[in-house]
Amino acid sequence: MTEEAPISWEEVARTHGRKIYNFAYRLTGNPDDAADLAQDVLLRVRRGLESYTPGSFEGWLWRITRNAFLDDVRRKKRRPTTPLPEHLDRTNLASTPAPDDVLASIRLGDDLQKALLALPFDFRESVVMCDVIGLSYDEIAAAVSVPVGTVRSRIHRGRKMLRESLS
Amino acid sequence: MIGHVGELASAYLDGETTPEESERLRRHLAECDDCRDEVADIHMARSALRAMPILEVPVELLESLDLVPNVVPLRKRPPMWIAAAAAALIMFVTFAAALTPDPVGVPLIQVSHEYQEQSSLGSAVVPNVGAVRAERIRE
Repeated sequence: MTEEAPISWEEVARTHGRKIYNFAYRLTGNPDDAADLAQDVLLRVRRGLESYTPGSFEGWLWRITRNAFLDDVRRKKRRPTTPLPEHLDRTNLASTPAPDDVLASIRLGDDLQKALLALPFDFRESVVMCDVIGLSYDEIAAAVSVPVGTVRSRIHRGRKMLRESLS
Repeated sequence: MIGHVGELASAYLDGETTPEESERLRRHLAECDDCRDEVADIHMARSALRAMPILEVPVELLESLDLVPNVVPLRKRPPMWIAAAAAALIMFVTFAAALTPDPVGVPLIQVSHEYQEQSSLGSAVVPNVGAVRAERIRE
């Protein structure tokens, strides 16, 4: 996506905050780490918007996001495969009780999340950007600074490994 | 060969192959059980990933960024007198605009029509200002 005009930080936070948080959650598998990471990303975005020049906004935003994650991993020396909390569904912030089918999908998602965390970071990142965030291969390539062919390969191998670990 | 064509499977499902690659994949799948299995596996993983629940941003995070004052009021129902006044105003302007064509009235008429299309209650329903605003923010 290309943004023509400068946009405000509040607008970015509202329109992209949920995507950033979900990206962070799927990468870390931990609600506390995800919240810390999303906060870090949004603060970096606020600082970065001052010098942002219109262009590929998605590429810029996700570059910031992945750099924040990698910096966080380095800073905390955290292993990329952080253990999951016992119950993922406690992170579901819906104030009303979830219907049975939603709870079932969350339990299925639990296994999938574990499998995601077991993927090498490069594969996990591209798979999440594609299937959770909905970025195109070109946008992922711009964010990760690799050729589109590499993105294609990472997504495919990541999905293949996920499929094998779920069987 | 199988791995190479199989690797096209993800890109194909994502609509990221060229027309030539798509054609090559389709031709190959017609005669290769292994690659068909691989495409089915990739399709399953892709579907499962895309069915993962989307989580809401924790309120604590919004609070830490001072975003709550801008967000929370939009989720609350406006006081009854504001809703009633807004409804009366919208009805008045809508009817006035309908009687006298005036460009100023167009946006409100559009809002009113959009709302009616979504509602099963028909033309008796007027837009709820809070609901319309919250919908925009959610997007």
